[in-house]
Amino acid sequence: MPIEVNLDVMLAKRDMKSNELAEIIGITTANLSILKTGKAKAMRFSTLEAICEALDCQPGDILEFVEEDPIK
Amino acid sequence: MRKLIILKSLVDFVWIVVCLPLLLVILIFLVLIFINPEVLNRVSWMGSIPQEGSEIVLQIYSVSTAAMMYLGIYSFYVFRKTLRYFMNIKPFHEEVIKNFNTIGIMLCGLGIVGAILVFIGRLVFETKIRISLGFSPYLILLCLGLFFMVLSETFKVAKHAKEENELTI
Repeated sequence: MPIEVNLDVMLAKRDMKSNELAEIIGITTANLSILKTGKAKAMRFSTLEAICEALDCQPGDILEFVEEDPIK
Repeated sequence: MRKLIILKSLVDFVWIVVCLPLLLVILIFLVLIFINPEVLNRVSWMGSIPQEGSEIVLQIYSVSTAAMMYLGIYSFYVFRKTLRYFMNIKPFHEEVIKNFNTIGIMLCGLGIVGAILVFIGRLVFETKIRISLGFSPYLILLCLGLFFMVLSETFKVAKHAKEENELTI
């Protein structure tokens, strides 16, 4: 998918663990793992809002558009 | 859920009481018509007893009818197998979609081949050409088959929507 989730980068910058973030934003660690690994098909605005609030960042810090390699 | 339990019980009952003995009866009949072809002359075909000397035609007709009946029983078996997925609360399993499509194809085949066989049967045993376009069981079979195929497509869409929903965080 051309949209990449840089959640692990932001977590490292904020020195926060995945389970801590999951607890703050109120989702399961399994769902957070789906989000981190890029397996998620969509993201709710409410989830994005909660993540941005917890990590004190902007949506653009978490989501990034990366052009797909046409050969792949 | 109670409706599903009733349906499953009914299907199991029909499978045990009708389908399993029918499998055996058809098999015995098929073996018998090749060992002792005189049996064929004692069976009523389309309401008339066939003339002597038409054994090969009757044998071919019997084998085709038996194959159709086996196909019908197999589609019923696939339906019974599919119900197990519903019982296990897995209605959007890949196997369910595949089974519905298989049942649909088989029922459509049964409807078309059945109509052709009856047409040929009337032509051979009654020496009549009759095409009935009304409310016939073959037409219903064809509709049912197409309905199962549509159901399969619908389940495919539903499975996709379910997966998408599950992967929305």
